[in-house]
Amino acid sequence: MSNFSKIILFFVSIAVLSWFLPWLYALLTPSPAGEPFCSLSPVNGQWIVSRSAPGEKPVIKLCAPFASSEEMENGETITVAVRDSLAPQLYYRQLVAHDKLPDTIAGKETTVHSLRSRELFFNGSPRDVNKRNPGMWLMMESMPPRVDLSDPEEAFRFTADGIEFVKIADNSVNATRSRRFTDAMKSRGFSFPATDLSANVSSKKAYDEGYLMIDSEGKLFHVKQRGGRPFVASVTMPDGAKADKAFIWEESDKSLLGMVVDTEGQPYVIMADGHVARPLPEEAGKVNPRKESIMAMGNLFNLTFRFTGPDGTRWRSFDADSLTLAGALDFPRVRPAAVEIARHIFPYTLAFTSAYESLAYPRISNLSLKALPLNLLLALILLFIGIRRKDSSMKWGALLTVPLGIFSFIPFILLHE
Amino acid sequence: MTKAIITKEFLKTRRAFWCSLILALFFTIYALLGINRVIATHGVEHVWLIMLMKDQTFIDAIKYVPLLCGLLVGLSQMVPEMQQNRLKLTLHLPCPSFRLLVTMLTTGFVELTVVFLIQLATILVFYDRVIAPEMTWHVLLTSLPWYPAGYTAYFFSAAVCLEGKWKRRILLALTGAGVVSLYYLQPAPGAYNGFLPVALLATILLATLSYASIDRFKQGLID
Repeated sequence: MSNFSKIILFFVSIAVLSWFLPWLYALLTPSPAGEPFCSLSPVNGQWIVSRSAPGEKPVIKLCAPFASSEEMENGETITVAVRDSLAPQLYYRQLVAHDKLPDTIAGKETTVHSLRSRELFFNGSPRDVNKRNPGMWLMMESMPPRVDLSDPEEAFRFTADGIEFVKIADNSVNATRSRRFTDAMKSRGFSFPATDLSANVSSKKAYDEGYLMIDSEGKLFHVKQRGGRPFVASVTMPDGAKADKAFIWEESDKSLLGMVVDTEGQPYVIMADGHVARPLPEEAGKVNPRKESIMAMGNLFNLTFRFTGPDGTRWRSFDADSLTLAGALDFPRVRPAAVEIARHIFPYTLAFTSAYESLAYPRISNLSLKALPLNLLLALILLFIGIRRKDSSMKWGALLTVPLGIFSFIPFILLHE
Repeated sequence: MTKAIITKEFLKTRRAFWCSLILALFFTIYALLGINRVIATHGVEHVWLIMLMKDQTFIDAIKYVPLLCGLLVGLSQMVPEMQQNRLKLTLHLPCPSFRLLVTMLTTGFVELTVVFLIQLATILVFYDRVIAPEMTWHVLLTSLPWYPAGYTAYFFSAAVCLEGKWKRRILLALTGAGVVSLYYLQPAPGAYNGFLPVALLATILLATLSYASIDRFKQGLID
């Protein structure tokens, strides 16, 4: 039992050090986080790339719509005033204040109203996707008697063969509404239970579009409550495509209901008129909402996406009406020097949290063979100490240190007697 | 003999037990009164909205209470054993040292379990009146990782107190702090659900650390 408890102590120490040392190293060597912000100009069709380093003024450059990294670096530097005039979709207020907003751009009438009505900004994070849900959702009234939206009075849950509404006030089931919604959803072909839901439940918004729901067979539906009654519409997707993750938008641009990614990673934009999911061109690439954050910026001229994942960031801009690809930029992830040095010290990293999930469990990552020389050196030191002390058990410490490196070396030095 | 050892342990820890119970109930009632205040001022709909849309559970006030209880019971149980090396007398009792240790640790474990169960039951009874059952379980599962943290603190404080050398005590304490902090890394509700069974098993294994401390004590490795 004594040996067993010593082994437990060693392995607990190794586990704690595997987490703590890389965490401490990262804390002591912060790397500046700064992603460039890109927007496609409807005036000249070029990308406007803004970069800012901490403590420095932002540098704004122009580059071609399909520029390489080198072309981006060598792009023409422009001033803030030039940027404002080249990106009226973002800076129209500034232009209006100086009476510099043109009447038309790219053949489209540009007024404050026309620009504002097509504004769209959406930000989706993998942490919002990878999290636990209690199994209850809130249903707002999309057609309230008064103009302003009010907080939901009912929540709902899914049962094996239907949807059940619960009155929040007294925690009782609203059987009538439950039956109405279940019947309406079944009549549209909904297969219970739902596997994914997306909504923006808040009374502090202009309007409510309820939920985008994915059923158990991968079909996408738009579900909301209007005047207490169910509104259910099936979203048409290409044959064979199964929806995996949906995001509702509810932005100023009411023509776009949201976006959906299918099980193959193909992203679609959902048109409110006709409830049709239009696929983005192949050049958008595959999207993994569980590993990539998605930002969408829409305006009168284009719809621009930023997909940020472990490998880097890619920007894709599409024409607002035809959804044809208008520009593409890629920013591969560059490892800071401190991270490269860490790969020579730590053979792996143990983490219990992740930037992509709101779940806590042990994850081993950043496996690095570059730490092997250090591991071997530390193992030799333990062997040498074992020989000097005539302690044959040190050979086990040396053996363990070859794969585990410094995480095993420290407990053996401090705890072994 | 086992009964006598249990009585001895309870006599040592009775004050810590009642203090832990009062502490746990105080913070639990404080958290629940906070929810009552929200219901009175904004309505129960607001509680549902905040819980479902903002991922809040309203019981953050009790987060560190199990940890404090574990430390309190562990220290009250084992510090007297090390005063004037009284552990020598304990180890001279006509009982194998392993069974002796198991009995001692089980007493503290049971006391903590009683405190934790009362706390959980209080939360369950209150929330069941206010929110849906799924949300109640979501809240309880969110609070569950804090209890292994409490047990971990108890087992490590026992091992630290029973250890005879200061250098080793410090290393054990630092390791214990590291293990306990793992339970507080991710505040999102239900974050630890998948990891809980492994965490509970690992926590039980930590009880063996005290045996190594006693074994070293018997070998004379004391300052």
